[in-house]
This record gives sequence, structure tokens and C-alpha cells, in this order.
Amino acid sequence: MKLALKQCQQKLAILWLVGSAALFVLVFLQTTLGHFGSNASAAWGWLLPSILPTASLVVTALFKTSDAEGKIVERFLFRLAFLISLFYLVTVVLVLMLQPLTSTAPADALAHSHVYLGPFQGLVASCFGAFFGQTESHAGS
Amino acid sequence: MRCIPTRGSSSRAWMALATLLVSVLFIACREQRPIRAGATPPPPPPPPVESTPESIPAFPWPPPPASATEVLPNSMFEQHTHLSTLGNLNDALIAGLQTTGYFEKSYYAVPRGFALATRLEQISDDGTPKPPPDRWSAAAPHVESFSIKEYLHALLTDNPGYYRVVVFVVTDVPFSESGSQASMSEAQSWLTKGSNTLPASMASAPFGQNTVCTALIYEFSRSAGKEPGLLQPGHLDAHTHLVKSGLWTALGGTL
Repeated sequence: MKLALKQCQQKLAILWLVGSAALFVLVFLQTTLGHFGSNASAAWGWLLPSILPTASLVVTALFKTSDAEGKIVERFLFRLAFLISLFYLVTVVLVLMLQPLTSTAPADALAHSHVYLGPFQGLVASCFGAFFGQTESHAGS
Repeated sequence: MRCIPTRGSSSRAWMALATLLVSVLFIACREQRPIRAGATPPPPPPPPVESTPESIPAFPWPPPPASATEVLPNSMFEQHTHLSTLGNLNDALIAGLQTTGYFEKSYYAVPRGFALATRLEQISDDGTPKPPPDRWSAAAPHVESFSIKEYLHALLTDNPGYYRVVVFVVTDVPFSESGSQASMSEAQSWLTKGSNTLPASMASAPFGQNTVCTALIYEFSRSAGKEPGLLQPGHLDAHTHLVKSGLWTALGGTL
């Protein structure tokens, strides 16, 4: 089953923008209220590489894909990209929200998360590659 | 042939005689000095310090600067026991410590007395010990009982952990705290580097009229992005620490 590329891109963009905004607000409040103490730069140094590359890709694709209205994409690929994006963003949020329930220092919790967030982010990027690579025009379908 | 003494040989003879006289006088004086009437004999040399089986490690003296200090009135302890020896006071301290959950302790020698150090414990902001096992953990604090308010506070703001070591110093020697500040790891090591019991020789030492028990509170704080450090002065006074830990009432104090 095929879906319109433009709608899929919009849904992905909304997901990433809302998720990024929520994370940005959370880390902004934490650094402003002193949760990370003198490690505020480490918190931003962790957050921005975690979300900005993929969020930038999604937003750029939304505005730069030519003739997006006339293209379609596999529903499976869209769902895969959407769900894995959602899962990734929830994981990033949980890194921040579960830290107070553990005995790990805030900066240490962020540093430890690189172990699994890095490969996870690579998986998200692969799904986006498959998603954008499999688009086809209406005429082709 | 007649031998006529010359001027040079005569002077040599007088010199030899004078030297002999001075030597005899010097030896005689040295031998007579100890038995001279009225002279005080020299004090005997101090006995060499031998390591006896009862010797225990010494606490840093003067003690490192504490976060808070309180001299406990002897009347507190006399409600339960008659203080005739340092061992009596030690028994009262042990009873009070065990009542309040301080089962691990370590003894050190201080001038004319002893010091008793407790294990590093994690405390709440008001000085109340955290429930075990967090109480005996030196790790960063976390939310124990989940509530939205406490969680949001821990999520957004700095959530410093407070840690405490109580050292009771029992001696009749007045002291002031000086020297370098104790680190948290150093205070933690006080539990393991001291003696497990109070030696009998110290326990049987008489409880002097001026002997007092001083509680030294070493309070540490661990904030985000910082190494744990001694709070000086502490964020609570010594009396609050003793009351909130339960030691004050357990040792016989009244609120």
C-alpha cells in the first residue's frame, strides 16, 4: 500500500519538531535551574548531536523535496521510519527523565547513554535513507 | 758528670705537671657530681615507645576542622551510668549508637582519651538519616519515595546529597580544630583504619573531672558537577544533627 510522500514527510517533521522542542525545553529548564551544575555545556553537548542531525534532515527534506505532492512511498517504510523515530525520541527523553530515579550523576547518565544512542541513531538514519530512497512518482505506480 | 737542668726542660716539666693536675681535677669532678650532697639526680631517660597489642591508631590531632561541634554535657550520660572510667562513657556511647542504627564504629587514640568515629551516612536535607540501604551509600542521591513534587524537584534542580560522619572525642585535654580539611574519602576511611574495640587500658582509665565528650560533625555535600566536599560551616548546626540522628535522646539528652 502506498502513501503520499508529502503527508508522510509532514508527519515525520511534526514528530521530530515536537520531540526536539520538548527535549530542548527540558534541558533548558534543567540547565537554567542548576540540575547539571557546572556541567551545563556537557548537557547541551549531549542533546544537540542526538537530535539535530535527524531533525535537520527531516525538516530540510520537507521543504526541499521537489514535486513531493506527486510522489508516493511504501506505507511500511513510512511506518518503520515513524515508529523508530518515535522510539528513538522516547529513549532520549527517558535518559533525562529516569536519571533522578537512579544514583547516577546527571552528567554521567548522559555520558553512559552514548553507548546505545549512537548505534540507535545510525539505525534511524538508515530507516530514513530507505524511506527517501524508495519514493516513486504517481505515474510510475 | 753533673746534669744541669736547662730553662727549656724546666718549662716542659711544669707544663706536664699542670696538665696532669687539670686531668685529675676533671676526672674527680666528674666522678663526684652524682654523689654531691643536695644535687638532684638527672631524670631517667624516657622508656622507648613500644608497640603493645593494645595500642590503637591515633586520630589526627588536633582534629581536622569539623562542620559543627558540640560538647555534650556529662549529665546526659550519668542518667544511665556512673561515669568512673572512660569505659563507662564508651558503654553509654555504644548503647546510644546502637539504638539509632550506628552499629559500625572505629576507635582511635587521642591525648588522654579516645575518639569514636561512625560510618559515613547519607542524610536528608533536614539531617534525618536516609532509610537503608541509601543511608550507608555514598552514591549520588535519588528519589526514594516517588511523588510528583519530589520527582520534578530532582529532575529540574540541583539535588545535592548530604553525608555525615560523627566523631565523638572523649578527653580532658582542651583542643581546637586545625589543619587541613578532611575529604569525604578520608572521613570514610576513618571507619576502617581505627580499632574495632576500645583497649582495656583506655577503658579502665579514670574519668577525670574535666573529661568531656565532644561531638564533631563532619558534613559533606555532593552537588551536580562537583566533587563531594566538606561543608564548613555545615548547613545544620551540631545540635540539630544530633537531634535528627536520634543520638541526642538515645544518649540521654532531653529535647
